[in-house]
Amino acid sequence: MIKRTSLALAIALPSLLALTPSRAEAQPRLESADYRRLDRHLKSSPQHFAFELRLGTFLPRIDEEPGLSGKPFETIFGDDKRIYVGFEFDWQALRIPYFGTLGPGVSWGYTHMSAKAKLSDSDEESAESTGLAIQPMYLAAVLRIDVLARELSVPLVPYGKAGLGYSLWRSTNDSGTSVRDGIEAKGHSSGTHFALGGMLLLDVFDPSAALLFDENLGVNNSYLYFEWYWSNVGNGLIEDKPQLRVGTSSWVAGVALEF
Amino acid sequence: MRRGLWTRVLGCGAAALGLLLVASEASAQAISLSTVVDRKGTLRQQQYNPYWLSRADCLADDYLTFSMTLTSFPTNGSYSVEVWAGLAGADCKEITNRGTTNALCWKVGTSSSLTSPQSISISVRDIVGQHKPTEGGGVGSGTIADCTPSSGTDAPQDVTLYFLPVTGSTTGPGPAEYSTKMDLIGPQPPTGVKAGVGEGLLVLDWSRTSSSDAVSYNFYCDPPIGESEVVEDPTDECASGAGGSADAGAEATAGSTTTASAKGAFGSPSYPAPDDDDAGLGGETGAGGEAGAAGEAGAGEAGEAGAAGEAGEAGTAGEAGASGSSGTATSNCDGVTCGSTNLRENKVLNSPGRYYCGQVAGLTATSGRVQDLIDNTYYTVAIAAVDQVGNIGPLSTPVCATPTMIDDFYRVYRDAGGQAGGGYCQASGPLGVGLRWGPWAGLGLALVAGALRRSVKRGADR
Repeated sequence: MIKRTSLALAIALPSLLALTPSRAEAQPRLESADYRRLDRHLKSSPQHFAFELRLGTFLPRIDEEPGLSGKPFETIFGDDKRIYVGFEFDWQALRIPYFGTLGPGVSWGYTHMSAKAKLSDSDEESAESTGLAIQPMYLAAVLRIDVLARELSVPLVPYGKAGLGYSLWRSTNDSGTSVRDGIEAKGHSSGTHFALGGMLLLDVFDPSAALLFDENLGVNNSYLYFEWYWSNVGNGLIEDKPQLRVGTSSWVAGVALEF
Repeated sequence: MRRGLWTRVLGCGAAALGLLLVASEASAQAISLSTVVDRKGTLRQQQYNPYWLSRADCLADDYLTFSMTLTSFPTNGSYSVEVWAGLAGADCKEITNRGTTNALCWKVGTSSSLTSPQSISISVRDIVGQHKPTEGGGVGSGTIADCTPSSGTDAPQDVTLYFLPVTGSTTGPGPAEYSTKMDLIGPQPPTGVKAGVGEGLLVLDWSRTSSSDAVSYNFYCDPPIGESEVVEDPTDECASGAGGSADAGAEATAGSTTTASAKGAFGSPSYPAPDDDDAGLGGETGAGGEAGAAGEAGAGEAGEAGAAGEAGEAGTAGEAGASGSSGTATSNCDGVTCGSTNLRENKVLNSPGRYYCGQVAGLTATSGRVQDLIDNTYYTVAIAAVDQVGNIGPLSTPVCATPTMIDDFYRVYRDAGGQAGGGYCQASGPLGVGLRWGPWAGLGLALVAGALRRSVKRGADR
C-alpha cells in the first residue's frame, strides 16, 4: 500500500511541479476566473465593430411569385436547400448602457444551384447545365443585447436585425447567361430583411485565451451563433416592378467576433 | 659535354613541340553553327515545339537552314562538309556508322564550298526518310511517302545532325552537331466517345488516349460549323442497302471543293458515299496526283493518300475523281458507325481543315464542348488527339447527335409567366419610378445614422 502511494506521488509530483510555474505566471494577469469582472470593459480594448462569418441553407421563394403558372424553380432545381455562405460587418455605433449595442450592419452572401436542363418539351435530361446564382445582401440595424453576458454571467447574447434586403441574381446555361425573348436572365431584387438570433460567448470557456486574443488582436469577444432570418427580397415592397423572388426564410450559423 | 648535348637536344625538341602545338591551336579547323535555324514554313506555336520535325513539316517539304561558319579549313579544296543524321546512340562521326554496310547514319546534306559563313539547307524529308547508304540513300532521297510511315512509334525520337569536315574517306577535326526530335505519327485516338445534347452544342466525353505525348484533342464535326444541312440518320439508309456512287469521285475532281459536295451515295441526295470520301478529300485539299493514285486503290488506302495530297504535292486532282468512282460501286455501310463518311474511324487528317469544330487542351482531358452548332441538325463528331508537334492522330469512333433546344431555368420561368430579368441595372422610366417606400426607408436610415452619430459624439464629450 505504501509502495503504491509512493509510486503515485512519484508520478504526480513532477507533474504538479511542472504546472505550478505556469499557474503562478498566469496569476497576475487573471486574478479572478470571473470573465465578467465589472472593470473588464475598462481593461479591454475599445469595441466598435462586429464581424460574422455566415453559413446556412437557402431555398429561394421564386415559385411564390404571383401569376406564375406552375413551379419553374422546383421543376428545374427540385426542392433541396442549397448552401449559403456570406459575411456581415457591423458598426456598433451606439452602446446602450446595461443593455447592448446598436448600429448598422451590411452583409454579402452567395449561393448557387444547378441542374441538368431538360430537352425542350421533354422530360429527358440534356447534357447541358442550367444554374442560378444569387448574391443576397442586406443593410440592417443590428441590436445585440449583451447585458446578460456582461453583467449577469450568462454567456448568451440575443440579437435582432431589421433592414433592407437586396439581391443580384443570374441564371446561366452552358453558353453563358440565359436569354429568352431577347431578355437576359439576370437582375436585382429588393425587399425587407429581418433576423433573430442568439450568440454563445466563447470567452467563458477559456478566459485567459480570450484576454490574450484581445491583447494581441484586439478581439473583445468571440461567439458561436445561430440565427433565423426572413428575407422578403423580390416581394415588391421596395420596387414596384417584376422581380425574381430570391428571398428565403432559413437559418444561418457561424462565428462572430467583436472588436 | 655529353650531358650538355642531350640537354640542348631535349630543349630544342620541347621548343619545337611547343611551336607545333601553338600553331595547331591557332589554326584549329572547326565548323560552328548559328543558334538560329531558319525554317521554310511558318513556325508552329511554342507549345508544339516549332523546332522539332513533324509530319506537317515533312508534307510541306520544309527545310532547316543553318548558317555555318568554317574556321581554318585548308584552302586546297580537299575538304568538304557533309551532314549526316543519326538517331540516339548512333555517332555519325564514326566512319563505320556511315559506311555501306551496317550504317546507322544517313546523309542529309553536303557542301563542297568552303565559303564562310555559308548557309546550308537540310530537307526534312531527307531527315525523316532515314535512307541509309545501304538503301541507296543520300541527299534528296526523301520523298513525300516518307512523311507517313506505315509503322513506328508515335513518341518523338531524338535525332542529331552531324556537320562533318570530310576529306576522302576521312573525317576531319572540328565537327558540329545539332540535336532535335522528329515525330511523324500522331497519338492514338481517345476511346469511349459519347456525345450529349445541348442547345446549339454537344457535350463530348471520352477516355484519354493511350499515347503519352498528346497535348490536346481536336473535335471534328460533319456537317461543319456554320453549315446547316440537315441530314437524316444514315443508318436508316444503310439498312435499305443502297449502293455506292460515282459522283463523289467526280466531285473530287474539282480539287478545291469539299467532301460535303460528294453526295449521292446510297441513292440518297443528302448522304455521301462512305468509300468515296477519301478520293474526295484529296480533291478537297487541292492535292493532286497522289490523291488520284490513292483513289485508284479504292477506299481504304485512299484516305492516307488523300491526306498527303493536302500538302499540295502534285497537281492533277482530276485523277482522284476518276478513280474515286471505281472504288465504291459495291460499297455498303460497314465501318460507318453513324453519319458521316468524312469522319471515319482511324482516318488521319493532316490539318484541322473544314471539319474542325473545337479543341480542348491537356493529355488528361476527358470532356469538352462543341458550340455554335445548329439545332435539329444531325452531326457526326469524332475526336483526334494532337501530339507535341501538332501531329493529328487518327479519328476516334464517330458518334452522332442532334443539338436540340433545351428548357433551362430561365426559359421555364418565362414560359410560366415570370417577367423578371433584363440586366442587373434593369429599369425603365425616370429615376425613382417603381420605387415604393424605398426612398422613405433610406431617409429613415439616414436619420437613424445621424442620431447614432450624435449620440456617440455626446458620449465622447462626456
